Amino acid sequence: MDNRWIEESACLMLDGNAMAGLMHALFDVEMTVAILECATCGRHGEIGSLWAFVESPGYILRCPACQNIVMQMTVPQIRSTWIHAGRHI
Amino acid sequence: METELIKEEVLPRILEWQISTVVKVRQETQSVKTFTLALPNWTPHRAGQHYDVRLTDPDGYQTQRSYSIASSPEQKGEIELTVERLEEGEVSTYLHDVLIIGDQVELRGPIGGYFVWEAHMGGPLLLVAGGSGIVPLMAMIRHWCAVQSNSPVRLLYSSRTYEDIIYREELERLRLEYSGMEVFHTLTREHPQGWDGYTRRIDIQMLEEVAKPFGSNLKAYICGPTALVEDVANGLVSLGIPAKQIRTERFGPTGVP
Repeated sequence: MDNRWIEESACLMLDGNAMAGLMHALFDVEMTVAILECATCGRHGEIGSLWAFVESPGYILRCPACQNIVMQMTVPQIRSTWIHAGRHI
Repeated sequence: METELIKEEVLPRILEWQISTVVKVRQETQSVKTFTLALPNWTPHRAGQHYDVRLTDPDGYQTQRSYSIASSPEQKGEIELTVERLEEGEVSTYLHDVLIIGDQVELRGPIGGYFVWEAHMGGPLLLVAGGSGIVPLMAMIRHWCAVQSNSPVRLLYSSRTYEDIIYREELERLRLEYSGMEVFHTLTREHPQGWDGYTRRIDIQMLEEVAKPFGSNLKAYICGPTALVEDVANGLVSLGIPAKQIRTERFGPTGVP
């Protein structure tokens, strides 16, 4: 995949633990130690170890091994949250 | 995708906003203050966790940021948040310029379970900080001291100048008091005459010197600006430290709801 966007956004990159508050509020459980398997490369790792990009309309978690999106979340002004987890083609 | 939510130490806990009261404000450096906040619903945190702070305008506009807890879990009923004033920071400028003792602050926490260290997790412990990245690591050091942990700990701390070193006197005092703790400073911009610490950005040679006595079995916690965290984490991996033993917390320009 094209990594140029990621390189340009590197200064905005945080860790999955930066999204701990939002995820805890949604799931009512501490989520950063939950283990996810990357649907693209199969890496196993805690949510806290993923790369988080938060300077966008939504929040994006990327796999540090293959850089693909593991999860993206959008919290619109109305009280609902859109979550997508899995493979992106 | 596989999700594993049930872990021994993870119990469901509703995360609710509460109103804290400022009981103490301490100027740490020119641009850094520590706020001690008394909490009506204080719960013991794990060193490395953070709180979300939320500000609400009279017209209803809300904004929030995450701030690492600086105090140890042994300090009951209150928490300390050490905050750097960012010139463009919506929340940090308010905290620095407006907040005084007796004021109220809305917050929720403690949050996070990944970037934490507790005494039972053992060591040896390598802590690497850049600037205000010292804050969650200071909570670990204070916890380490409070429980008199047997695991040796080494802190490598990068600051711009001598005056920018946060918790400078406390770190010096603890280093002298606890034989299991060593502190290595590096100053990247300018250094006083007679300075015997490092005087450059953290590099592989520095990491090797600091980390080597611990072998590859150490637990590393790195917190600071993204570039520093990247360099240190990659450096440790190249020194043979397994990635699973390295935990990072990068801080960016703003927080996350």
